[in-house]
Amino acid sequence: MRSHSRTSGFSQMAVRILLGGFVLVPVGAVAALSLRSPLSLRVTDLAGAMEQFLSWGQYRNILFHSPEYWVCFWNTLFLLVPAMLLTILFATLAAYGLCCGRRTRGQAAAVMLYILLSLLPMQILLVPNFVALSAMGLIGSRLSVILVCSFSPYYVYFMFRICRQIPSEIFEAARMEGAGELKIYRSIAMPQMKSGIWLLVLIGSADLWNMVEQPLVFIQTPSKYPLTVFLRNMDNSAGYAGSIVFSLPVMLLFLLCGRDAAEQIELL
Amino acid sequence: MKNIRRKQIAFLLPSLLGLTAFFLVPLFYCFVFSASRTFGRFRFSGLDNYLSLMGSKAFRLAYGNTFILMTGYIAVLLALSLTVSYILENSRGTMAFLAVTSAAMFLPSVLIVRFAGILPGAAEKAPRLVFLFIFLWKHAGINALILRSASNRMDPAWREAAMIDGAGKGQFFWNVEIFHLLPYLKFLFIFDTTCFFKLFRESYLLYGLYPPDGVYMIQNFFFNNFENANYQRLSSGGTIAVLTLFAVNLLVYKAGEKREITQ
Repeated sequence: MRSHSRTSGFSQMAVRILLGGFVLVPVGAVAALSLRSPLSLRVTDLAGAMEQFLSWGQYRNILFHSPEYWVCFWNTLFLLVPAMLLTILFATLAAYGLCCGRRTRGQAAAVMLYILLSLLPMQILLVPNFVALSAMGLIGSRLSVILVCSFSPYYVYFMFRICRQIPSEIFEAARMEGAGELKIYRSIAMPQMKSGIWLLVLIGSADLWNMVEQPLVFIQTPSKYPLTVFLRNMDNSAGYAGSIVFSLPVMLLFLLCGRDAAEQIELL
Repeated sequence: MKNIRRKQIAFLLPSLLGLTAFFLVPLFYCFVFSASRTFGRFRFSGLDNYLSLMGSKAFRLAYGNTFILMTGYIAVLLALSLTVSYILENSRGTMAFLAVTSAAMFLPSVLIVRFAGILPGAAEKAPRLVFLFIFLWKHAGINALILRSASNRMDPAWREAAMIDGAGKGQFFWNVEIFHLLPYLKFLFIFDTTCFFKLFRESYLLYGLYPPDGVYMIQNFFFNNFENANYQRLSSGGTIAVLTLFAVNLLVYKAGEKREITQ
């Protein structure tokens, strides 16, 4: 028994080191390269090596010498924040509507519809979305991307999985007390789904932060493109630092709501 | 009672309206016009669009690649994360470790693409391996986390009973645990499918709009043909892709349904 637990202890250690290394090495490598000086200096002594391999040059280039970076940064935010807020609103409303009542056929059919639609890759939906948006005359504006993203069916299905875990007796009890549906949604369902909403914010923002396809097709104005499109064309003089700076807000968000989110993933 | 149901529908309404306006109606519209000679004014052409699409080499390449890479990548990912969750024991340290590794999924694509760019020649010589690497890097942590926590929720009495009867850890896994995990594996399949199609972003960042043949996928085909504005042909391609996806998922959903264990 003892030798058994020792071997299992060894394999656990091995898995942790391998998987941990696998995830961390790329981040570490890019972080290390982001400190390389954008100029190639000739390294002759220790001071020279320090200057070559530990410089803030790339960060200086990004933060102070590339105005386009900041224009695109704000472009990304202008798309992300409204889309995220609308997603939360529509997805929680729909999730509450789907699970507050009895399980009927209509409800099951609606859930199935959301699942099927969320299977479709967005590239296939580009044509249908484009048709709808041009019929509404929205092509070229930021609103086009915001609207298409905020009705994303995947997040409704996702919030439904979260909302389903709230015991329905709570809703029943509140109804007995005479609370209206809107009141139940606001003061019971929303607080109960809180950590689920944080997970939604994390997944949704990470996804919107990376947006490439929809802006390219629906906005069609380079001055309104988000940051990912811009970062593609960046060379090594600032590219590594650019990726790190770009990753920081997401890492920060992960630190802020990672605990709530992980708790929620475990229940999914 | 009826009143409550009406209110529930009111809650669903905003989302359903958006879904109808941006997804359902346009999807149906595209489906109809996939059998038309021109887009916008219906002129029936039968299966012409479908046949011309099948004749196109680019579409066949994209369709084949997508099918092979999707099944292959997801199989490797699920096998890897099952192994990880099998070896790691149920403890707080494990869950914290897996939560940290799942952060990779939330990191922007530009980061991992930068790393892939460091490896000399990898992106040109072995694009499929690079994509596999990126796919595993992003999703191994979160898949293992979901599987591990599903295992944690299993009734501990089952394991004890099996141990008393002399079953080893492996035997218990293959005869009981795997059937408990089956519904979660199916959920992960759906989840990983949506993630797989998002590889387009990494592809765009690495190669622009024209990746090498090995990783030329249906997403690229759609995106590139969008420029040509041949929407009726794209619509027929979309119809084929949608039907394939639904069929694959129905198959996965039905697989082993009778032996699933749910608590």
